Amino acid sequence: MAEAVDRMEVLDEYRAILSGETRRVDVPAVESELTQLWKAAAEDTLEGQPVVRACVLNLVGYAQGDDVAQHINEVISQVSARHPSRSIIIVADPRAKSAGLRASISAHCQIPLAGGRQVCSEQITLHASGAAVDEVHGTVLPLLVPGLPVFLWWHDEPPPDNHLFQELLDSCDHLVIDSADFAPERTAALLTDLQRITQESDIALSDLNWSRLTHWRELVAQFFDASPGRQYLDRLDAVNVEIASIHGKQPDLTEGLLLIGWLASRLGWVLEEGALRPRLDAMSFKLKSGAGSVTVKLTPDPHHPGEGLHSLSLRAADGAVFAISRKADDETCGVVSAELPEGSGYSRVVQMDLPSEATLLSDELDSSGHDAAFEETLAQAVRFMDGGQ
Amino acid sequence: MTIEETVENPLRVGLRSQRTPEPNTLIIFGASGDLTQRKLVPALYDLSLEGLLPGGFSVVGMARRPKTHSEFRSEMKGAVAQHSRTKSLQPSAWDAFAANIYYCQAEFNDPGGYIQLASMLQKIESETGCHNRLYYLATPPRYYSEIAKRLGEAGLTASDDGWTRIIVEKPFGRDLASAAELNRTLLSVFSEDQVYRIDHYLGKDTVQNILVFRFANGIFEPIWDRRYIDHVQITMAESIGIEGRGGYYERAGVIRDIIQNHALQLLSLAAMEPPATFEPDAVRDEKVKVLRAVRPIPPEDAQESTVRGQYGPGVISGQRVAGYREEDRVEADSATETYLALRLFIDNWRWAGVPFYIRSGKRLPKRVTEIAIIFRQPPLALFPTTDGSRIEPNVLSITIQPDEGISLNFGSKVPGPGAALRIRPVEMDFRYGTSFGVAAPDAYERLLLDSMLGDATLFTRRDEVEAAWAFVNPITDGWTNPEPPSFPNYEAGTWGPDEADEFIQRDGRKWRRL
Ligand SMILES: NC(=O)c1ccc[n+]([C@@H]2O[C@H](COP(=O)([O-])OP(=O)(O)OC[C@H]3O[C@@H](n4cnc5c(N)ncnc54)[C@H](OP(=O)(O)O)[C@@H]3O)[C@@H](O)[C@H]2O)c1
Repeated sequence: MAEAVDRMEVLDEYRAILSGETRRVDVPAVESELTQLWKAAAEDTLEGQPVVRACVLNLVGYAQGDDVAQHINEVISQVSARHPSRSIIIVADPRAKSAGLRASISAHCQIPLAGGRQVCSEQITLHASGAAVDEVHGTVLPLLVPGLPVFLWWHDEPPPDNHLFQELLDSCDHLVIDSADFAPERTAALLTDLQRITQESDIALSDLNWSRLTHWRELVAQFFDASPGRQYLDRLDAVNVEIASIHGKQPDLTEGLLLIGWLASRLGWVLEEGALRPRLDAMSFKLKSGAGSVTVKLTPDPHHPGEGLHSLSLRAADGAVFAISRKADDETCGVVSAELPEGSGYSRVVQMDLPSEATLLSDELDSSGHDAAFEETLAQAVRFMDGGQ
Repeated sequence: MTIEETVENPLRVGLRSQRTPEPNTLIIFGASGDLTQRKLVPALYDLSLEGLLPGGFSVVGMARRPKTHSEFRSEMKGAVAQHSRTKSLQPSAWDAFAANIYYCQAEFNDPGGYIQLASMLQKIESETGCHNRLYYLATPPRYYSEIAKRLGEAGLTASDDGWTRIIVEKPFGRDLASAAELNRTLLSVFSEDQVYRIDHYLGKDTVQNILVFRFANGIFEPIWDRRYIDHVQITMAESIGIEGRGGYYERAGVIRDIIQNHALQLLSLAAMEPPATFEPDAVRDEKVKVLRAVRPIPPEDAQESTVRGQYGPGVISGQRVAGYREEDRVEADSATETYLALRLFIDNWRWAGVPFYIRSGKRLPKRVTEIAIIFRQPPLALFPTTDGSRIEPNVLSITIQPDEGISLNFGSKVPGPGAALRIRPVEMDFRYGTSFGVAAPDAYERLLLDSMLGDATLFTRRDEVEAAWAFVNPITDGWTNPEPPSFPNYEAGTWGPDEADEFIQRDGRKWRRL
């Protein structure tokens, strides 16, 4: 009898975790507690359909402070339906005086299809403070599920010489960052460091700021898939980009420079030495192209109601203009238009939802290795940022 | 070779889609019909919203009743608002899309209508500078030949500098002779590479996944043959009835509605040899080889080798539903089958002696489409069961709808001591929705885009259609002579007639419980 009551209590406790509660556990016992959790869930027939534990990757998140950790937690919960994973969130407080490490476990459960089974992802949260922060990788590494890719999502400026960062990098396949969150004056140096990391190791780099451009790249590419647009691709001579604020900060040119970097790397445009003095506000410079030169202009527009990139126009020598811009009155849509000298042309409206952080992360988790187009873009963008040095 | 050299547009490197279609005009015959409103125009709008249609894309709808362009646009707006996959209609996106929709009023047999169409196309194309045309036959099937011929007469089956293609809806013929006749007519004015015969089943992501599953995973192919497989069951069950399409269904029956096209397509995909490449003709060559190797069921064996059923009234999900003979536009003594079970063999090296059981029906307990591979028992019963029963065979099942996924059943020891081992089947289950929780795009979106891109992989070729009819024809011939079974012979909401169970039990097997 007493045994049965105990069992009921255990079951209740695990059910609470599956319905979203966090449970504190001893650090060495994390793995065995998770095993208990899934065992209890598998035996729990009271709710009808059993839960399914699914895991296609390891996702290690790094956050400084509880607010960021909370945010990461929400994003992971949103991506877990598409990417069920074992996630390990490190909540770091390196400035705390005393060293300490606490662990807790929780789960993200969803019913992906109406009437389907409940699918759960597990999450381990490690709170590390003081000197313990530097050593937390020792706890993380044994918790990684073997044989599955490891994504490290560093939700902050990555500090290249930081011990923990280095140790975690050694065990991961993908590093995910968001260069929109970097301080503009440090972006060039940080991206240069990251570029070096990807060159020197097998680690694939994902920048959420680059993912923000995917839809833009798709729309730009469409202009030149077929004639009559195709013939102007090699004759482009001007690019104009306008950028609004992102994350409520001053407009940051990085996203625009990535877009220009992409065009330059794909079309063979090069920056000539000394042609550019890097600036953090408006920028205007010339690139050398096969047909002559391309004038590039990036203009921040802090008063535009949107977020990030809001318009792009490409002009060819003969007067052809290809343009994409978000609608001012409806930020979820954009106008895509082409005007060609022979009098033909078109204008259409397409959906251009601002992707959420969860959507961006989810796209990156889909990738399975190095993104050569991004790495070549980054090499160019970094040159624009540091003036071609 | 650098990546750039393999793609024409250097900006495509690293992007998921490798190209967008060239600017083109889609001409829908039967533009006020049910298919246009429920599927085609909503799919086009969704594609356009996602930016997947080219700039310079237009639609011309052709039908009989008089209406203005703007009346037609507002009809289509209503259809999109009701049937689009994207939640709410975006007014600015709709306006931009609708600006390129036109209506052409004509009787399909009136040559004047085609002259009018030609001048509309000329006007549209002078603005875009592109001469690519895609015709879509969304009309009652009796007009397919008529329209093709008239297009030929009007010189509209080819253009000077652009492509011209034609999509033909199902049903493609109602027997081998009529399908062959339709092919002849189409191919007298178009060439085979212009003709896209649609089987919307092939546009489903999961159906394409059958090939990925078989040929991208090294572990399945070696056991995918007669040495390891006992038999295969293909089930295509629907819980709905005929949804007001009595007139059509009376002449079709499940054999023409499902078996001749969708079921035989699934059979080909499950049984085909690996294609040399994933090129359209390489894939279709292998599929058609399967159909050619299917052992014919001659008319005299049709009774023996098939079980027909027709539903009577019954209860589905707690709702009383009418029997087939009570449906609208159905004869009170109709002999049309709404259920069919059959057994066939594929006489080739891989499948010799392995029976394939196919069953499909309306008003069955639930909607499910599945291919199940039932493996042979191990050669020796090493583990005696406590009750003397045999261990359940391994089953690999590929579910196509509604909950797409793959599962594998195998025997495992029940924990605990004891001399006699207790072995129970356990299921290893993979659901696409679980690992990749996203809504798949609509089949019509995929197929429309593919036909604009000139990719015919997912469309049925002439020889495929004819091979499928060549199998079905003798069966329907065999049914005409003897008295049809006494219909109705199954209650709506049950798994078909009892004879279907006896049919498979005669071979010492049973239908999977789904
Ligand atoms: N509906 C579906 O879900 C579905 C699914 C799979 C395949 N299909 C196939 O798709 C095809 C179309 O089906 P549906 O259900 O859309 O047909 P439907 O609703 O009957 O529509 C027929 C269309 O053809 C037009 N039409 C008929 N006779 C005409 C004539 N003599 N001249 C000019 N226009 C004429 C009608 O125009 P008016 O309105 O002006 O008379 C109407 O627009 C059929 O072959 C069907 O088998 C349909």
